[in-house]
Amino acid sequence: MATLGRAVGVSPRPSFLGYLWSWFTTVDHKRIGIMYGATTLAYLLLGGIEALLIRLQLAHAENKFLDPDTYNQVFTMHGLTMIFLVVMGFNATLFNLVVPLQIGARDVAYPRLNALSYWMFLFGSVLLNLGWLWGQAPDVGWFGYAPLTRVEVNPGLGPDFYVMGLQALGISSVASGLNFVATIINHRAPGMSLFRLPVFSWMALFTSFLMIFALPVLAVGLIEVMFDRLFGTNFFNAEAGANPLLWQHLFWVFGHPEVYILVLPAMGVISEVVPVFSKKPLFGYPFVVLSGLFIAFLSYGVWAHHMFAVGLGPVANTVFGITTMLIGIPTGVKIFNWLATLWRGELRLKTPMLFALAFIAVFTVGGISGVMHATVPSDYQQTDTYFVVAHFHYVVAGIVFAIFAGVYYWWPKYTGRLLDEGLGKAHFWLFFLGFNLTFGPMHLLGLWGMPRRQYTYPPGLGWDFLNAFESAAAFLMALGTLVFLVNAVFSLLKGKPAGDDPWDGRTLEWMVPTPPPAYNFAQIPVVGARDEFWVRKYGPEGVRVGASTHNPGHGADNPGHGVAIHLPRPSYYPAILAFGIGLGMFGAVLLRPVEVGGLGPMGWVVVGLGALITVFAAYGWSFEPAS
Amino acid sequence: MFGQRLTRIIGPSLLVLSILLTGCTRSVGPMDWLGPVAGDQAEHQRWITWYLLYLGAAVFVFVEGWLLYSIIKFRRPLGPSVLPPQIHGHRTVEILWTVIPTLIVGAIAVPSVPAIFAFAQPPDEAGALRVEVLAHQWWWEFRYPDIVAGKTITVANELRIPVGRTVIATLSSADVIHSFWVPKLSGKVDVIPGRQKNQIWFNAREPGEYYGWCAEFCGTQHAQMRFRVKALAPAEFEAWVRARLSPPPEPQGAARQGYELFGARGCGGCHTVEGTPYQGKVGPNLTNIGERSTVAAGVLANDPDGRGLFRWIKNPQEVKPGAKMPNLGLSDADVGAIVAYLKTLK
Repeated sequence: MATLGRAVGVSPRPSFLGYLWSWFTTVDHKRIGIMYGATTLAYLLLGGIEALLIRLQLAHAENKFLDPDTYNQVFTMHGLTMIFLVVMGFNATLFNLVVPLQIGARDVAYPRLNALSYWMFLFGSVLLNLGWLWGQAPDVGWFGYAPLTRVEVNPGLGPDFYVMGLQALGISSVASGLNFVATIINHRAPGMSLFRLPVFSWMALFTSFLMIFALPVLAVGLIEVMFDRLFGTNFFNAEAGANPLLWQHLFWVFGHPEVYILVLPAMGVISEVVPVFSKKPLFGYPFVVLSGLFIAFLSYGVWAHHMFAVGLGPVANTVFGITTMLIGIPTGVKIFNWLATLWRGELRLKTPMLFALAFIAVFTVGGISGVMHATVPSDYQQTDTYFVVAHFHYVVAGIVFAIFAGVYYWWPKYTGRLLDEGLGKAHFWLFFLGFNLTFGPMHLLGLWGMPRRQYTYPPGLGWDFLNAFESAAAFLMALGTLVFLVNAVFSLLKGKPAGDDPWDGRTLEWMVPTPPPAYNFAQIPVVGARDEFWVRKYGPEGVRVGASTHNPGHGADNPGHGVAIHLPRPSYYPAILAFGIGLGMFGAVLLRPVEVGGLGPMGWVVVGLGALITVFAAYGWSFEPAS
Repeated sequence: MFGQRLTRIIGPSLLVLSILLTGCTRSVGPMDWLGPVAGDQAEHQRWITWYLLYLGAAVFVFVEGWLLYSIIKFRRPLGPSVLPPQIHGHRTVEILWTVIPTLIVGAIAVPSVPAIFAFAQPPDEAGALRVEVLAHQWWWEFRYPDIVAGKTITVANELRIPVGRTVIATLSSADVIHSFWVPKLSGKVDVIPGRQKNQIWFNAREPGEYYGWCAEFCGTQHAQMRFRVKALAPAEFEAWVRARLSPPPEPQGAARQGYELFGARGCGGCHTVEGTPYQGKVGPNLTNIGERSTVAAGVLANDPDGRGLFRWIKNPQEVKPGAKMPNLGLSDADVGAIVAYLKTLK
């Protein structure tokens, strides 16, 4: 029985192994969120190092720092890492840490499935990166256009790790999407109607639906690539009559919603941080929410804008150009509502707010260049140049501003300590300057005709100075990230205690003690308003009502708190199940011939071992008592 | 006072932007498509892009100006703060800022839709020069089918076209997806292996040598899969076609020795030189290598003393690691003789 009221005297002496075991078996959304966060941070550093390698190679014309095959692996892995492991990983981090608390729940709907999502994410990310050990990481670009992934043009293991790594990560995302849809629909506190849901949780809900519907399409495409490579099918074999554009359609039907999977949570973070640091409610809440819905819906009708140059014909290009431009409208609505939230507010420019404001600033630029790309005739020139590279870094790397806004904002709630403001501001300015000086000039390089994905370029085409300049500026971003690491370590060791509500927050997560207890809420709050906590503090009319800042259900007024709250018990089956699936997928990579580094038919042994572990864990999971 | 602050922000940023933008009106290099260009399509694309840049600059200044103004005006650095009015929204402004972006989007769609259809339909189809482009990892093959009744010219990495005439190119690939792009003449169209044969049309308004580049990632040497388009006066082009259709000169002296080595060392197994027994189809057709401005798919200059060719043949893997042409381990003397032979092929 995992109730918290066990007598203290009989608890076993805490040991380090026991501590590790508690993380390994945890099903607590907050601890899972912290594991996601740590993993994401590690990949942010790895992806950042890959970015620096790219910039070093491009620092001057005809550089020989990296050979072409290494460069192609590095830029591919940089993209895959930043998209699938950093931004998606961070979104999962925040969903886990914040959503259950924001909606007044004790945990997610399926805690063990939640643990499975994390472990699948971990093993999938390892699988994706494992190719480095063979010197054969994926080298086909993050969208791996067929037939470049076919075995006769690409016999190495890179595309196999690509296929299996992404497939594993997809399982994680779909499981987590289902979980958060169920959680947000069913586990809201009494009184929290949908239109009292905090905007971040709204965006988590839309993102979860996008993940559920988008990733299976990628899964289909990946299975086809896998069958082509392992079993000699002809899904993408042009010589056998296939049209390799099939892959592009499958990939982008996933890939464009994916962009909104990345950005909607960021917009959610901004919609939380900006009101809190303006001391005003979010302006136009229903419009911000509905524009998110509109973006999520439209995202399935724009995929071919990645394919204007593949020859779909003028009618298709016109339709997809216009649907894409339409996305500019709800995006504009969001930006204007954030700006209106600032208007006549009391802005406190703390680090989370600085990052949030910077997100608005850079995302606007990404939006403008996005509409330029939607303009088909212009895109015929822009596509596959550095103009696209500039565009998607202003969007996707721009999301990193929202990530840091979220980190600085929610860090104190989960660690109990504040991050240092001075170091935070140094981090911000280094990162903000470095970002704009690195990616800003890429717009010009694109307009000046520099194609993307070039491991080398000749001198004298007008590209030399800006490339050198960008390479230098990239190190400012790296330096900023180092300052953040110092800040994080410093905060964990000696940071100022945060208290329960350091920012004068508006939503339920600030109402519980810091760090939140395992059961989140001693008593599930009854919600009577949007921005429930704010209304409890200031009253519905925005007039401070002094006394009600206490946390109901905690402290002296409820001495028996925490007794007999049912919590799911820890389980090691999710981790073992994920390991089994991951091992089986690794075995599928090893089915490739011995000459390229696989095991040939011996790979089936590894596949079988993985399958056995999977069946064992699934069996154990099914019969595990609920409490 | 607010107005003053606003001008202080917006004024300088407009100034900086316009300096940045005017900087782009001169040609930065042979790949720059925002400066002066030479083809009808590229010109059309250029003005649409300029239109977008000005619209975008206006939106940029407006939004960032509003943001900066709000930050400066409403920041409260110190001290206890008063509670600002708790405004939850305003229906009229919501409608306003939904309608305004819609109008901007409309203003962009209006000129762009006709352009999409214009680019899909080559002008002067009857009188156009038709060429076939066959993309390979990592070089370009160009064919002029039936250029003179029943005769086809095949060249590599350098497409010659007559000034002023529409060129319609049919694109196909021998391996993976590539993209055909000559920024000064037109936008890009992807080259797809298999049954889908895309078309692109372009023209050159004035004589010159235009840079082309593969624009879709196609493997190890994607970065060095380039080509040139040479636009010649119509009479010059006709003369070139006649010269191409006549057999190459009989090799003499050092070139004779190179001609023999070309066969003995196996070059002819992969490369074709028309009018000789060398009819390999794996690598580029070398019949006019002597007159091309570059070797190795636009990577090395084909200088008169043959240094570029020498460096390439001596060790192709040093120039383009991963290229399909192996290092044959030829002695300097052999390479020199082969270069001497190839230089005569024009």
